[in-house]
Amino acid sequence: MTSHKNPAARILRVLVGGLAAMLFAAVAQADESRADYLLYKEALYHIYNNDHFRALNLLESTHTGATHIANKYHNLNHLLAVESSLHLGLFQQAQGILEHLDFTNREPAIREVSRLYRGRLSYQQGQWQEAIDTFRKLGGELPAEYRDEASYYLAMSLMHQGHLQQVAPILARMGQNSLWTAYGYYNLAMQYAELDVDPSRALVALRVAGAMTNTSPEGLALSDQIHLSAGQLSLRAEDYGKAMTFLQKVRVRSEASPAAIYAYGLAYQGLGQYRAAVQMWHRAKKYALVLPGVAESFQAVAYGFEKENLRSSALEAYVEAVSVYDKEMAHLNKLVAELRDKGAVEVLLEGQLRQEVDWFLLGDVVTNTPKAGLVGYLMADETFYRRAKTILELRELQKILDQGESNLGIFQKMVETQQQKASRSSTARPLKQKASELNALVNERNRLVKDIEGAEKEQDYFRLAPPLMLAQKHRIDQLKAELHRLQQQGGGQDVEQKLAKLRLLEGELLWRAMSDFDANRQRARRHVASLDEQIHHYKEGLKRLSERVDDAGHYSSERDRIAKLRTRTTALSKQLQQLVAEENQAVTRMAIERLERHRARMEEHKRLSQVALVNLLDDIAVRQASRMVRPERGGQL
Amino acid sequence: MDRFVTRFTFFLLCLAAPLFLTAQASSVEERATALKKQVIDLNRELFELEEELLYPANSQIVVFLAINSKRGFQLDSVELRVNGRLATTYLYSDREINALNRGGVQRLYMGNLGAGSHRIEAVFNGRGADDRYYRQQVSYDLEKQHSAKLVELVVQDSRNAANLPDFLIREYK
Repeated sequence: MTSHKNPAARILRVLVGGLAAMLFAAVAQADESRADYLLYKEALYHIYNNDHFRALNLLESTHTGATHIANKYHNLNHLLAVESSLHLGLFQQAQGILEHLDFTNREPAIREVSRLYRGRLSYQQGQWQEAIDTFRKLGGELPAEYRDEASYYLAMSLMHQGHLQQVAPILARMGQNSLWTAYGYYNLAMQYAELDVDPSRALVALRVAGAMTNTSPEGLALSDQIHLSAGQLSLRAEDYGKAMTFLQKVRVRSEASPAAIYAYGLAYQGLGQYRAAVQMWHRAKKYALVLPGVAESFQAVAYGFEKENLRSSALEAYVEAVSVYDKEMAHLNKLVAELRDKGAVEVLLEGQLRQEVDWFLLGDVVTNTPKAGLVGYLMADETFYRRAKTILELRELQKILDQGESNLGIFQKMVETQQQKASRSSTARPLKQKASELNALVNERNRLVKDIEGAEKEQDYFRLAPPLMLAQKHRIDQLKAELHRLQQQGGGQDVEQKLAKLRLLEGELLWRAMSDFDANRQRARRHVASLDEQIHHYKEGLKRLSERVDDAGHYSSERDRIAKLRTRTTALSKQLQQLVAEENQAVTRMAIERLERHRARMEEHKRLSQVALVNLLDDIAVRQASRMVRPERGGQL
Repeated sequence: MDRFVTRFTFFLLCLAAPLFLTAQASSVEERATALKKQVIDLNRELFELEEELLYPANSQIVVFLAINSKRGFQLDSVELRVNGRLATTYLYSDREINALNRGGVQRLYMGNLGAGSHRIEAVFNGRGADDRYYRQQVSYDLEKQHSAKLVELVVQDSRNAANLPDFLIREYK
């Protein structure tokens, strides 16, 4: 009976086969899982570094359901790809990945996160109602760390639709000490401030927002903005004490600082404390003129002195203000001329680009140099910011393409050199020689195995013995033959004795060979195993060498691949250059327009300061004249 | 009548101007988006080609760096040596450290190694919780076969030292 007819054997074979398949699948899955885990962690690193291009470069963003691998990190990688796609405005790609996840994913948590991203996708495209519907469908399986984000986007979508009464209850359900909550309340407060004459509802929302911030850099910046807004709202309501309470919470080293200082001065002014107001406005003078409140502070200082009846100080302050506005206008004229000549990319973005590409995309713009201050002012305009961001992204792409082009050039040379080396006939000859050497080695190995098997079968204890023992055995055999010859020639008793002694020695040697037989056999097997390993390495090396020699077509296909990539790179590079040039023109126009507006503001400040200065001088002159007239009149009287 | 036509045309142009501007802007956005997608695809192909050509799977070695420590060790830089030769050095920015602290893993080095025994040494420079500057060296012997080898440098919390975490080199199994 053959084994394949035996049901027990068949079951066993199926079982073993199944287990082996499962083991293989488990190993393969573990490998895939490990690869996905590493990919996830690496992509995460790039995303936290704001390098979404590199993250997307790593993440496989498009594949069909057939190649889907069911592990946690595979799905998470898809979600990271959606995150980066949304960040880069690649909505269609994000949509494609989400559809793929809908089709393949079976995990409830991933399904809910995927739905959250779908809502964000609608939100970013301004489809508010669709976003609301999607966020409302989110279930309890949504992981806790995503809940505030989901509620925030739902609240903001409702706000965009004008359903303010539904926003507050949603925000109230969100987690405390969460920046999502803080941003939500801040945005709600700004909506209230726009709608209401009485700021109390907005102030309450701002107070809640302030309480939700944390001590992270982003949290502190938001807290400053919240307190500045609350201060300004209180000022609008002429509640100066409350305004001061809010404004003094704005940190000195913050974006909002100059505006807060100016507003604080206004609060003092409202209370009639002009000296304190002047002291406050003095502090704002160190900031760039373009920042809100700084240009006003120069004028306000002079005004404060005037109110305090410190006329000479007021005169000096007005003169200083006029001079500062003049300087700013001269600087603006120079910058506008430069912009017309070289364009916005080179004048406004290039210099900063050398330091760090995304410096201005961060919240904390350095405003201590006039140019950086002006860039900050320009970026405050949403349209300008969006288009400048697009330009910078396109330039980043350009850099990637340039790098790719350079790499492709190197690869092309490398492949050509390898191809030349491989095609030389001198490589083929040693290859044949090496192959015959390998065959000899394999034959030797087979002989050795045969010897071991023969020795084991025939119990030939000496066949696997070490060389020293074999030499001893050989010597004994030689002596024995010699003694036998002498015996036949009638060698006598002496020969007999020597033969007996030799037999004893032979027996002893046999005894040693027998006792060492197992060890010798194992040693021989080890030798074979080591030889097998060497033969394997040799074979692998030979295979690679052979592939290099034989596979001339491989190099050709690689060269074709490189050539095609180069063509695509060049074409894309041209398209990019054209788009950047077009966008540069548009952004330059916008920059000039906005700078002209700032210039007009400076002009107006200058005009007002000059008028105030003339009025003050006039007033002083009138007073002096009246003082001079009075004694005369007195004399007359 | 002519005046009316001129005025009406001007009125229509004024109405159409914002629409035209929006269409132009969206067209730029669409073109930029399409280009972004193409560049990402192209770059991925380039990345794959680079890996195949420069770091074939049978000789590839990749070294990653991860931080799993909450002890307040501020990593400043890393030096990596493979078989005694300097492979790479890396100086970290605050943002990169933040990314590592939040669970990201950095691909520190990618290179080629033949089959056999090799030694990897890493020097971690940084500020400990006691505000002292530390320079810690660790080494690891690895056996490489004819397949890619993935190695991880890890900074992780220690049970022993109060101010310093453990610095490890391990293989991804």
